[in-house]
Amino acid sequence: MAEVPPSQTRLSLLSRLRHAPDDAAAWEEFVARYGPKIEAWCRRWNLQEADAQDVTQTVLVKLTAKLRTFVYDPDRSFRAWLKTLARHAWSDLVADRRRAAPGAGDADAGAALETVSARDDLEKHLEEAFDLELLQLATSRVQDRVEPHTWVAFQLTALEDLSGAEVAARLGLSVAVVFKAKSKVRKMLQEEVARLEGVEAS
Amino acid sequence: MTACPPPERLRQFLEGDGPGEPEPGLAEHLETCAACQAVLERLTVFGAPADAAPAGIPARGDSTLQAAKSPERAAVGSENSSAVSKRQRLGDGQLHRLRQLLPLGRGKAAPKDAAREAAWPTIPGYEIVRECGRGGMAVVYEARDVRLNRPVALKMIREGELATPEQLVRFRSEGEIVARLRHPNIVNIYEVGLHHKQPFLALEWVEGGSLHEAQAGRPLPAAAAAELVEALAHAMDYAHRRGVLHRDLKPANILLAVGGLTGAKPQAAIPKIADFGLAKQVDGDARLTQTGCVMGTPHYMAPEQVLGRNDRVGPRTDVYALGGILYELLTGRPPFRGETPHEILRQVTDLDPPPPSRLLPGLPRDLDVVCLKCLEKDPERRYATAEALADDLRRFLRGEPVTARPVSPAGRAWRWVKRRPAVAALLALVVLLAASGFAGVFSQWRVAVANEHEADRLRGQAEGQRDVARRNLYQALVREAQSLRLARQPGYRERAWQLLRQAVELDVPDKDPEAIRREAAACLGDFFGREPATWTDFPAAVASFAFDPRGAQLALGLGDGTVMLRALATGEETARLSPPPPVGGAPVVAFANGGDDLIVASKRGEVQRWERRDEGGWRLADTFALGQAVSALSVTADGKYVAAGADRQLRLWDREAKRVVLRRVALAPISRVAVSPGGKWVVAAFSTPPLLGRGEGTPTVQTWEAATGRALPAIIPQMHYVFDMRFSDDERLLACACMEGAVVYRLPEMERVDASRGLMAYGAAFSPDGRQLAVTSAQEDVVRLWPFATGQDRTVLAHPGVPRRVAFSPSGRLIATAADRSVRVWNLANTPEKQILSGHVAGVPGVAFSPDGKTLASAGKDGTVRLWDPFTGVERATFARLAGEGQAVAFSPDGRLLAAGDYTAGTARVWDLASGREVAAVSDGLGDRVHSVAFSPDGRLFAVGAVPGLKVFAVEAAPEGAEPRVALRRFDKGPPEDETVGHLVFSPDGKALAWANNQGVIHVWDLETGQALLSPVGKAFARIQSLSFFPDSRRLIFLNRDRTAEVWDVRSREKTASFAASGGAGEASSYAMHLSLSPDGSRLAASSASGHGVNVWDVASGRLLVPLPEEKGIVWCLAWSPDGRRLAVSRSDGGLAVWDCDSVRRQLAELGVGW
Repeated sequence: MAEVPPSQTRLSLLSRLRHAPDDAAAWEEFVARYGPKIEAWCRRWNLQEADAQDVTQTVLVKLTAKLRTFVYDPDRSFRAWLKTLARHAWSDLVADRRRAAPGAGDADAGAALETVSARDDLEKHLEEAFDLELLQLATSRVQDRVEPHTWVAFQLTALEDLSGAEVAARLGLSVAVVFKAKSKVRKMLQEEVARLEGVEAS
Repeated sequence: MTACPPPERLRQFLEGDGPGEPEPGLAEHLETCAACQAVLERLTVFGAPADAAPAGIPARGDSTLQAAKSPERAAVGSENSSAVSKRQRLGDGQLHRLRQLLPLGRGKAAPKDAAREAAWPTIPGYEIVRECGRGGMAVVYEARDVRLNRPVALKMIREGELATPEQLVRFRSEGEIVARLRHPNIVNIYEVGLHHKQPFLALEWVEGGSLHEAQAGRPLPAAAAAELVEALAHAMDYAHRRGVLHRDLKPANILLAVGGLTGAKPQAAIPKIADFGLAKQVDGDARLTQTGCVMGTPHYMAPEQVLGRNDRVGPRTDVYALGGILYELLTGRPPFRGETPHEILRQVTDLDPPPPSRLLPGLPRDLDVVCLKCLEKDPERRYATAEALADDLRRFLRGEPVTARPVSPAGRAWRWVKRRPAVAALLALVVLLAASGFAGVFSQWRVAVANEHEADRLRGQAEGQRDVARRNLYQALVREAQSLRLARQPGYRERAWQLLRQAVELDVPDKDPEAIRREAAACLGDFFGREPATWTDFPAAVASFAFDPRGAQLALGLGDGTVMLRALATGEETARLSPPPPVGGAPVVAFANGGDDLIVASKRGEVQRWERRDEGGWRLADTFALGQAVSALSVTADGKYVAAGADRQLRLWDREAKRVVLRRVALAPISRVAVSPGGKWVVAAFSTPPLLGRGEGTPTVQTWEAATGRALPAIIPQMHYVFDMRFSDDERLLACACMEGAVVYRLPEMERVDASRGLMAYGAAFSPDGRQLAVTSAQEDVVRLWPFATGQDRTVLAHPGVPRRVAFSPSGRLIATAADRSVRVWNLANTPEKQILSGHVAGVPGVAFSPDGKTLASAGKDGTVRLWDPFTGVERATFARLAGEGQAVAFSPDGRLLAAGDYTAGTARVWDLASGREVAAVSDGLGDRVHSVAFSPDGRLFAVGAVPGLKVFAVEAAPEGAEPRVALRRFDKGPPEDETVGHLVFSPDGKALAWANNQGVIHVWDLETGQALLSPVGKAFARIQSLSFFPDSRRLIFLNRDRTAEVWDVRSREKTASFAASGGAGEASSYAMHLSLSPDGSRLAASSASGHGVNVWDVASGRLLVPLPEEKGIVWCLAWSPDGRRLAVSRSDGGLAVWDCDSVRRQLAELGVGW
């Protein structure tokens, strides 16, 4: 059966921005989703709030700039591409910072940011944001394709750590149905994630 | 209860997607069997074997569960389902949980990666970890040497690149030679091998990236740069001694083994030279693909390489490249820059690079000399060996004099002769070379190692072609000077004139001194042609500065808390605040109390007031605490108001009264604040999500009126992140420096006036007249002066190293820019030969010197009459405001009265200068266009010319000391009063009056006899300044419309001389020509045919002495100072300048093209 081509909103933000750099909605969402991750990274690497926000801005802008200029190699995974983006954005950031005033008042505060560990950590933070986004897409799609009860059964068993029997009691479903739901949704999610990653890579 | 089913049965049940209903009895069993439930729990745990099971049939909806519902339970279920609606998406917490449960592409390569991985070569003894680069000729992998358990870089030559067996052999043999090099500053080649007939190299793995990446366009401290290049030079010398040449040294080929260039100790990085001769086009150099140049980046290629002169390629070729690297380390840019590789190559062969110290003033001259010696075009003139270069660098580092000597201009010119003539042919060669790509390796040079002596055949060729070459050189010099001027890089004058001086000194038959003088003069009066004062020796980044309102010095706040003052003239430190103010972010400085006090505010929340002491120092007078640390701080230029943001709290203080004027809680944490110069407005910028200011109506910038607390409309810009905010001095405009450049808003509507667009701006400053905005452009390393009202003519001030701060001096004549630890001070108005008098906001039709030459008066279309100091260009006073537009202006010969034409009001006005009081006004009998006013040289008569109307009055002034009063009585021997007059002048003896009427016809009237003396002659330009008398009062000069200057004897009524005044720049046009004769009658200043320039003529010979540069506005009026030394030029755009013609003459004479 032919796969229906995914609509733009069924792609990750990075993909959407890659295909349509001027997509305002995607940009907004991108900022909302990735901004806090980057800021968390900044704070973690010892930046004060205001500086963290400054750096966040810079990284966001650099990321999107790279997004436009960096050709995605379909031979490699999308995630690897994201890593490359992050790595380059970080390099640019550090180059900028070193070029800029080291004594502008926050020289020491920013030093940690320029370490390789910080860079790897930035990759992790961004990858996490990307994963969460991917999962959100995947779960929404799966959620839309199953009965509400199936979804809730899955949610309660898989994510809230309730036992099958407990959930069955709460939702008024049979135990067999609850386990079946959990198993089914899990499988659907795995397939969906694999599919999304495949689509991303195209 | 039925027996428990085997686990396999349960798994089938979970995975099956048939009708779904478990076999009869199983469902019931599961409902109650804790053991089976436990099994199911285990089977459905994420990561359980089920995950590893073969992929099942794709889920298609949920028929199973629907069927499974029993009716009564379904009812309960649907109740629940409304509570947990289908649209209720998972929260971030649950997604996080899910992320832990589901494998997301981590740990296993995507299928295509796997395919790529499969394509990795298997080389015995090595284990490839990842691919790290791919270029035209080779692929580079990070790998492990399994035997020695060490990381290596594997460079595989791609298939088909080295096709012939000969090439393969050469590759191997050369590789093996390089592989024998063992030097701490050279990347080791561990192995040269073949894999399936494809050669590969196993190289030392160097983690830190290349010098190119590490430097990132940022200049290094001189000593660090010298040390680094010294190490490279030693390594190259080592290689050279073993007959190995690199041929492609460049920052991208220098790897840094540890640390990189972090912090203040770049020398901690061990530079390692990579890519000797082999496979040099591989990977890493992004510039290569960007320029599309098959040869790689040509920035460091020596001319002999560019020209394909392989016979001349030798160790000195590498010395050239080392010089290029040193150059880039010192200045942050390669010696030559161009849009295209061709352009760069042309420069490599044709141009001398600017000395590094020109790009980064303050660099030691010795390093200039060392750099330029390496970069000599002729290999013979470079250091003979890399070791010699290393030695000289060591001498520099020890503080000893270097052996390299600067080249004299004449020497430089000669070398140019040698390389000039063949440029066209050579460029063709370059193209060929570029097309052929990889042009052999270094074996040609091996011959040269044995035979160190290379013949200088070019020298001989040049001898034979000397004459042709000289002529070529002469023209090239003049043209080059012209292009330097047109390019208008800061400080271009010195270099352009240096070229012209060489041209003057050349002995060529068709030398044209006039042309050289014209070109030299075109550089005059442009402040931009001169270097700004540059101070680089600060211990920390400069974060704020303030001009001392008393002039002469600049106060600077540094990132480390230091506050110092420096003399503007010399850059010397004049004072330093001690003890230093508390650090807490960089201090903000401002002068208060007319310059008596220096205010220093720190983010620790302290505002200090320092008093100026008589002996020149400063004393801490008092400290005023804001009560808490703040995140944003702003102090008005007069130090009176302090605005502070701390988290969401905004407070505006009246520092003098020590009270809070305004208190506001903002919607979000405040990142920047600014208070307007008079304390009328205060503005705060926020930087919370939405981070880029896009949505949901969260304002990015909020302004309040201090007196009322009223909030002005918030600015919700797109893509804005605000770095700096500034108000204009009149408090009517607000500029935001942000990610999209600078945006100007009008207060209080907050209406967007204009945006500078383009690149990110870190800082901004309004000029005191509020007509332009200085904007620092972070990505370009420049500060632009943006006349946002007109949007034209942006002046660009270069400041290497991310300029962040900019400020105008109170007069607007100076501008200071700060980038990191350097400050530049630009004089926007003054060159030794020209003062710019800025103030008029519309054209200036009238300008006159006072009889003592110490005051200049101007009347402008902006309705103002202004008085100036012609020596400094400083405005003394806006003397009077007219009812209409100003037109003409004149001093009485005793200097006590000033007259001006109130053009549109049809009135001539006379003021007493001492009291500033208007003492007479004439409008009766004058049309509504007063064109000209004049006092007779004896002061007895006053004439007014209008269209129509010509009035001559006898002046009766009250005696000195008495109440200033002037009576104007009609003079009865005057000319007919119904004449139309464009311009009128008295003869120096006061006996004659000459005027040009509305049609440009000239009349001369004898004031003694009351009769016409000469009439009518000429067809002068109408309604402009078109007539002058000679000092003998007999001769009159005017410009005919055919641009002939005509001299008439008004007594003999004959034309006594004429000359064509159409020379100089500009083709004939319809512009009228203004003129002014110097008081001694020897020089005529006249506007050029284009209307924009001014030509100074020698009247006796009719020779053009000097064309003063063209400017934007059309010349409207010219006036000589009484001593004939200075010439005032006013223009249609409000421009007003005083030229020091003596200085012009002296400078041109020094250049060898004086008159």
